Amino acid sequence: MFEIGVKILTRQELLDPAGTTVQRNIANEFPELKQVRIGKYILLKITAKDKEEALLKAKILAKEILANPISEDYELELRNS
Amino acid sequence: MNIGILRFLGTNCDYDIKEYCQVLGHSSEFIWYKDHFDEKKYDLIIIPGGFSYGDYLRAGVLSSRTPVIQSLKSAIDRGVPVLGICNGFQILCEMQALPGVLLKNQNDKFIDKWVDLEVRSSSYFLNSNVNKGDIFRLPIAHGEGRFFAPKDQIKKMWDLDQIFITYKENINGSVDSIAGISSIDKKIIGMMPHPERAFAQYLGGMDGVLFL
Repeated sequence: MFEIGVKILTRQELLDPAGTTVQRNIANEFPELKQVRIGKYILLKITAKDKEEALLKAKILAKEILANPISEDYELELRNS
Repeated sequence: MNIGILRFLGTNCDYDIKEYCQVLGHSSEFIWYKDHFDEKKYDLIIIPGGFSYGDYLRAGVLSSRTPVIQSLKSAIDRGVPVLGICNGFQILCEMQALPGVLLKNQNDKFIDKWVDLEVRSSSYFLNSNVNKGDIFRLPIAHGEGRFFAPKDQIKKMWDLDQIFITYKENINGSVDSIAGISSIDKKIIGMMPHPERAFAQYLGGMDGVLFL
């Protein structure tokens, strides 16, 4: 069983309203905080014969369902080996 | 017309749509998300609004993977027209029947109000009384209605007459104030405003009757 994390963030050029709201509302306490972007972290457990295959399966899943290619970027990370 | 109304877990405008169809003299029936349907049976498919699957992951994405969508795709291939309203619009984008995506509103708030809209495309397949330049007033109620597509895609959509309606005042931050779009052949329409909530004066307005 392979544990793979999928980090998903709205593309940098797009507005992230939740992040902007958080930044604006804590700017009094942390004036040095210039940007907050809020994304998703999705943890997958995948069966595969090796980590390459597990990462490939995760990539397909991330590309086709978990992230929207128009508005989001994603990164995969293997959490065990 | 005989109209098929799709229902997913969390659809909540289904009965409004049914009433809307009935008031305008059309027969309709519900189609459950787990079922397949005979595409020859319907003259129009409507995907109502709601919060299917609690908007988990992204609004509309999980519905776009259900069994009924397989039938919907064959119906689209056979030229059956489709109208997606609110969550229905989000589902049509997520299943890539329409271009673009609907993101969280610019102000991060759920917006529930009546808005003025302008028709931008040259024709509307369901009603020839809807013409370019016409102004309508319909209610909107959504948290994720900020339409986005890359610049070149938007330009292409304007060129191909795919921009159906725009907000007079850009309330949610949509690119070019877009509130509704169509497929290139104009048989698939997705729109955030709710015509089914505006078919009688006691609801606050009647402009919705022109959309069916």
